[in-house]
Amino acid sequence: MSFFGFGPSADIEIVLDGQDSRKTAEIKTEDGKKEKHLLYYDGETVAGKVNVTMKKAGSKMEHQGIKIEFIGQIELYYDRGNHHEFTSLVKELARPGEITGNTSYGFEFQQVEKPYESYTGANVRLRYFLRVTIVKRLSDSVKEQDIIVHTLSQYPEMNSSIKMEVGIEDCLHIEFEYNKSKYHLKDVIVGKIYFLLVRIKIRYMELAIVRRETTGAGPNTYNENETIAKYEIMDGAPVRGESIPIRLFLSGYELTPTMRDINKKFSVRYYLNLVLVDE
Amino acid sequence: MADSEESSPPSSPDIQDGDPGKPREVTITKSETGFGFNVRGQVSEGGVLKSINGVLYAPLQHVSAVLEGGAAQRAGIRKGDRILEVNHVNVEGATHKQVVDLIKSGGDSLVLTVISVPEQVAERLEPSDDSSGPSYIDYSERRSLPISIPDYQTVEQGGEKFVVFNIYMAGRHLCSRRYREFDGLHSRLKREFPDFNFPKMPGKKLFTLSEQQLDARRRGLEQYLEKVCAVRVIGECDYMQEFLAAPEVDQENNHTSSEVELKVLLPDRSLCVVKINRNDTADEVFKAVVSRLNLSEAAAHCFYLFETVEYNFDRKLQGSEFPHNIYIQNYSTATSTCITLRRPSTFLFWEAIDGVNKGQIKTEDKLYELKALQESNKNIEYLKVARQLEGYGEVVFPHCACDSRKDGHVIAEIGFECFKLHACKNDGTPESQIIEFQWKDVKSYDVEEEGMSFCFEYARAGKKSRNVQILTPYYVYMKECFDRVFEEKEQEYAKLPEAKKQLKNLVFLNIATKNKRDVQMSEQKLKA
Repeated sequence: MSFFGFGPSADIEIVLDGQDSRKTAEIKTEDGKKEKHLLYYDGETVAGKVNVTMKKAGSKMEHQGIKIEFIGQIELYYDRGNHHEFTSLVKELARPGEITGNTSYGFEFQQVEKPYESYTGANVRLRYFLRVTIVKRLSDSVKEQDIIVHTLSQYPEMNSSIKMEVGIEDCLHIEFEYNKSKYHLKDVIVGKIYFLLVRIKIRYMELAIVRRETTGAGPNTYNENETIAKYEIMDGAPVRGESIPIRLFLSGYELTPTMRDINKKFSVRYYLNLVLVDE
Repeated sequence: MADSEESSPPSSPDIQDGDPGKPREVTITKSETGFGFNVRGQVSEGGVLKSINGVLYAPLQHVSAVLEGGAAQRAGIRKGDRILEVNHVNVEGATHKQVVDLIKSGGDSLVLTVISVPEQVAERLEPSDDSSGPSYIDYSERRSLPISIPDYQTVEQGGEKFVVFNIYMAGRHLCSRRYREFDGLHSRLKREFPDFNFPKMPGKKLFTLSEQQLDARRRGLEQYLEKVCAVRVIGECDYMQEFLAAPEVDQENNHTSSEVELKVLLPDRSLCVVKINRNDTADEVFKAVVSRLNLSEAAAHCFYLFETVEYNFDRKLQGSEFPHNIYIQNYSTATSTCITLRRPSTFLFWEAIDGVNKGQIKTEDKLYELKALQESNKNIEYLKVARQLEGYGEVVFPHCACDSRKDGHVIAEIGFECFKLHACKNDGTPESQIIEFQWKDVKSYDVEEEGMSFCFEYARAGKKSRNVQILTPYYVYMKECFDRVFEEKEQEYAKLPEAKKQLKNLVFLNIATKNKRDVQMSEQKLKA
């Protein structure tokens, strides 16, 4: 947009291929709103068309070149100036010249590497997007279009269970068990809590899912914990020998995959907290 | 990182057949040099899918080396080839061991389905280990370990005297290491994890360290160990495991058990350090403290070792307990020790001050007078005033449940004059009701191990006897206090003139020992 009214301006529209066949996914933006974009996976080709339309029919626009970029970047909220781009590809759409009327340019980024999953968190954001730039003398016209990338994983069916015995000496001994140590996003946590020794009065017990987002490195490491869910599994005082079942459906919560040290910039981990509240 | 033009990567000149990026089947027959290739890849199972030439695959094992002129090279296998199938079994996401086992299972013949990848793709999938290896270590995964270094001791080995620091994990002794060994560990860890920000180690000193310096070094080493072991990768690495492992051999030592130092808090707030054996009983430790302080026999009889359980409650140790264990378990940097030397049930000057400060002794309007005496260190006068006050010479237990009270707790107070049960709320806030039991009314008492409680039987004059059960975790100590009271009452009785003795005869006669006795009270005899 030229603010000074200098010369005619154009509208840029990015249309990706396979709009009807490709699946879409939702992701939260920084302000918490939900946005829907097309879903891509690692290695898939990103192709489409860029439509440039003149605002005022019949006018001409001079430019120094039109290019399109495919960018994958990590933004740390506390360090806005520096966007760390881990993927950056450029294609030239048009050489310096003139635009009249409506023009359409096709583009294709073949087998683009998308190593990480799109993520919007409390302190960090990882996103992939296409950026069209019309280079002009005074100011550039820019249009961005986001896409969402999911990573897929394969894990064996045989997944060892977590079983531990914990307690407070002479007051409370419990044994807890969860059926798996690796869960997928639509999985169910099945387990039980067995009371071996109860000498205190318990009011209730709940299971909490906590997300821990770690940003920064070394001395600047910052952990942010967020309780995603709290699920009461028992109400009242148990006695020795009681077994409390657990069945928690993960598909009801907004979870993301566990991310370990993404590009050495951030990590996202999930924890299961067993909370017992006494009198 | 911008490519101006994207074209399909140049294919390796050797591969002639079909599309270079597509999977192809290769059959290899064993020669004198075996199959002639190496396999390398992930040790774990499963993982994130990555794209190879536009198609997503689970992590694949790959060919890391091909023998020049060997069977694999002649068959068309190239370095960097990703293995999709082994003998027609899909190995996507397989562990290294699974793939190797499958290769071995075919005997002399082997059929592989592989995908060749160009240099850059291979680099992306399997980063070279020398430079970028260590930086892929996830230092963010942490766990907290109950590791501590509560004490140290001087040992003599091979004619050399040096200090070793005892490392404990959750109250259990792991090993003892000297500063030199810590330093060695630190250098080794720094080389193994060059990009980790290690905490500072306490400094080297050329001269022998004073007690203060040694304690500072102990604290520094403890903090270093805590921080370093908290990072899972470092805590579980070989060097660390080796360092923390209990040194083998010397079964002899285990029996005699090494010397440790124990700090005991004295009534005058000073610390007494005694050298004891790790599994010395409380009786043995007490003897060591007595000899260290040069207490006379008579004086020693009035004291014993206590464990500071709560702010204003000390529990007397049983003769068979292990003070060092308790010392280690209650280890905290806030207090120097949880073991104190005290006089059970009667106070000396410092303890009296303590009692006043903690509110155990109810001072009311005497507080000003007491403070003045305290300032001028007039011990005897202070004690005279304190003795008159309520609460002096009393042991107050933390609030607990009682069977005669359905809703709420009680605070038990054992004093020389009587035994009181002070009603209170479940959280300990005192209520108005106080029940007093005169010692002469208490017929019998005992502890109940199963229910973890203390019970006593009392009978007021002319009434039926009743049982009361107090559910306190300190039931053993409570019984001891009762024992002590009755013992002192007996001593007091012994000092009485003959006539009074006759009267109190029947009351005290049978309450003389520490064992449970049924007391038969003959009311007629008393009235006589």
